[in-house]
Amino acid sequence: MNMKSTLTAAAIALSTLSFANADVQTYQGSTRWAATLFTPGARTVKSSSSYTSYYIFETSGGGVINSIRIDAWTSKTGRYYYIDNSLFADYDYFGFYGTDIAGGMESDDISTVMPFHGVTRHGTLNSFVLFPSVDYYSSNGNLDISTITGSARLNTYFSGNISFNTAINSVLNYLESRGYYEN
Amino acid sequence: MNRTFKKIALPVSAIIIFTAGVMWGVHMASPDEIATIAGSSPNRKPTTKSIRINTANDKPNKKRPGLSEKATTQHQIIADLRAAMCMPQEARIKPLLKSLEETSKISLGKDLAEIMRSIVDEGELESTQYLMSLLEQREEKAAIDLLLHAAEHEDRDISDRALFALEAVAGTVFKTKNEAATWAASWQPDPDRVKLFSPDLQNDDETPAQDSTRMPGPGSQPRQTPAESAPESGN
Repeated sequence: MNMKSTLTAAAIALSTLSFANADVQTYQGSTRWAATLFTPGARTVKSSSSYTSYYIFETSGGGVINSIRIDAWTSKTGRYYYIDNSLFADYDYFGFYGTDIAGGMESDDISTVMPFHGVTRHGTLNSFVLFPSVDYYSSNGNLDISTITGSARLNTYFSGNISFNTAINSVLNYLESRGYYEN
Repeated sequence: MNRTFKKIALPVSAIIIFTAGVMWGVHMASPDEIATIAGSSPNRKPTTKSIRINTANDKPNKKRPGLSEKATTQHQIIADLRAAMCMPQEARIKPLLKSLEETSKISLGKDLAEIMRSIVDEGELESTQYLMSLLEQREEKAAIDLLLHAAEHEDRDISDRALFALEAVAGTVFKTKNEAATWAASWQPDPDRVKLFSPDLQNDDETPAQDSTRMPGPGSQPRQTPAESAPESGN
């Protein structure tokens, strides 16, 4: 009996650990990119694009411990999404009474910081804008990203006391239900 | 002869003196007095044109040039947008997107809303997607109305993108367009977001994010994945 109780307690502890919930916030908005595409010896193309963007942040103690960006777009050939697995975001409060937030992000295709500024509600980042004031450089020699701007707001539907993966899967399932597929 | 001359000279002199007096009076009168004589209100604000004429030797008005510059910028941005819309479709995209980006610096007035509506109605995918992105970044009823209009577009690529934008503003997911319309009917701008998305704030040189003493720098934690690949350009 004692053994059974011990096993049960261990199983409960393990399950608690496995499904440990976190504070996850998902932001939905869009980004607009201005870029120059170089094809060596062939041509240079300047382009502008816009994406529907989801930023998913897992936070602990006010700091971002996990972050990801998902961009979705429609082209003439179909609807796609791209998962930026190496988005790195960091932010901190500033201003009076911790009402505003400033921070920066790095993306897997951007080698410098994208600064952003946001406002909070009930202690949670409520919305933010990306500043277009910096010239960004790509780590990819064929692509020079000169400006990124955009904004996003907290989407409560994909946020809450859930795991980071749950939030990601919810967004991906939602995108796929609307006909978007991974690029 | 003398009597005839005296008869003519007296009224002629009187007319000359009267005319000279009127001319002198007009010359000495202030613009407000002239306006009163002409029958308009003395308190009416002079037009920009009259300012240019009247202030050649005056000290510059510190408020008016700023307002005038803003109005000029607004007119120029709208004119550029109209010019881009008049271009042939195949040559239009680049200047149109560039002009659309500039609209983030001005308020969404009637003229701008009309042009944006025509972009939606025309239904070119790239410019409409770009426009939705700009509308999401506004906290204005006119922007919500435009998004609702786009959500009714017959092209599903456009109506679905508009629904995304409405969801972004609402911060939730709508199962139907009617749900979005119901939400929009009671939507009110959030003052904090108005401030955040305000064009004036975005153009402020002293933006908090540029204050390096306050802003945490990414890189304070190690990155898990080295940066190697870039996403494909969607458009």
